[in-house]
Amino acid sequence: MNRRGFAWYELLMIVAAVGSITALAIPMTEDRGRQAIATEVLADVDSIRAAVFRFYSDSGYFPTQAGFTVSPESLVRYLPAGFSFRRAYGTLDYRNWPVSTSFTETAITNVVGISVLTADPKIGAAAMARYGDNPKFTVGANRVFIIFGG
Amino acid sequence: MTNPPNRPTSQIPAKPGKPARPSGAHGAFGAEEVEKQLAIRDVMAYAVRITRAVQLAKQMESYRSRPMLLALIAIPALIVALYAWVARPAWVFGPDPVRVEPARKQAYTRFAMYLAAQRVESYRVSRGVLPGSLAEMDEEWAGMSYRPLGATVFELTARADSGDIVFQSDQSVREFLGQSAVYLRSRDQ
Repeated sequence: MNRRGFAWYELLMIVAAVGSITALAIPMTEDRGRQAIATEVLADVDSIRAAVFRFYSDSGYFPTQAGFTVSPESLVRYLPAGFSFRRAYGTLDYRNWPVSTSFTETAITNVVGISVLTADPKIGAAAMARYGDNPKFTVGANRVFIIFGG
Repeated sequence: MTNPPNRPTSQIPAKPGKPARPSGAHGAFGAEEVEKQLAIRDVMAYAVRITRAVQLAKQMESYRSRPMLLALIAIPALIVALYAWVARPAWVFGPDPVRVEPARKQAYTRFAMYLAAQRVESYRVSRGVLPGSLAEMDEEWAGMSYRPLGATVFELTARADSGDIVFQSDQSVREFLGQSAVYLRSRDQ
C-alpha cells in the first residue's frame, strides 16, 4: 500500500501520544517549581535553626517566641543580615513551646521549631516531604511545623 | 527605459553541424520568425525535462511499521497518563497535603493539642491562673478550641475526620499521644 500521508488512525495515535505526554509534563513541571520553593523554605528554616542554636550555645536557653512573622529580637544578630520572616512564598514564625511533661522517654524542656504558612499548601507538603525523617507535622492545609529542637 | 533581460536560450550556442543562428534582419529568416523558433525550442526542452523527471521519480515508499510504532508509543503513554490522572501519584503531582492518611492526620492533631496544652500549663504555672483563651498566649490552631473546667483543669477540643478529639489536662499525656510522636518522624506514604 502506498502512503502519501497519515491515515486517520495514525493521526489519532499521534494526538493521543502528544496529549498524554503533555498531560504528564505540565503537572511535573509545576511540581518542579514547587520543589524549588520547598528547597528555599528549608534553606530559610536552616538559617533560623543555625541562629537558634548559636543563641542557645551563647545563652544556655532557647529564645522566646515573638509573635507571628516577628523576628525575635534576641535572634536578629544571629540571623543573616536583612533576613525577614515574611518571604515570597509565605511567612515564617519561630515557635518555642515550654514543656513540663515530655512526650518522649527523654526529658525535654522545650519544643522549638518553625511554623511555615504558605499560600499554596502543596509547597508546605513538598517541604515536609523533603525534610525526610526529621520531626514535622501539619495542622490545616497551609501550615507546616518543622521541629528542630527540644 | 531599460532593456528586457535576456532569455536563457539566448545563451545556448548552436549545435555543431547546424548552421549558425541567423541574427537580426540580415539573416535568412525575419527576427520575428527566429524568436518564435527559439520559444518553441524552450517549450520543448522544458517538456522533455519534466517528462524525464516524472519518469525517474520514485514512488513514495510504504511504511508498514509506522502504525505499529505509533501504537507502541501512544498506548503506553495513554495508559500512564490515565493512571496518573486517576491515582495522582506524588512523582507527577507532588505530595498532596489533602490526602494525608487519617491516622497520621489524627496524630498531628494530637501533637498540636499536646503543645497547646503545654503552653496553657506553662501559663498557669507562671501566672497562677488559667488563660482566658488560646489567643491570649499567641497559640491559635485551626479547628482547636479551649475551655477552662476549673481553677487548674482545662479542656482542649479539636476537630478530626473521625470526630472530635478531646484532651483534659488531668489525663495522662502519654496515653493521649499514643503513637503520635512516631508519625512526626516518619514519611507520609
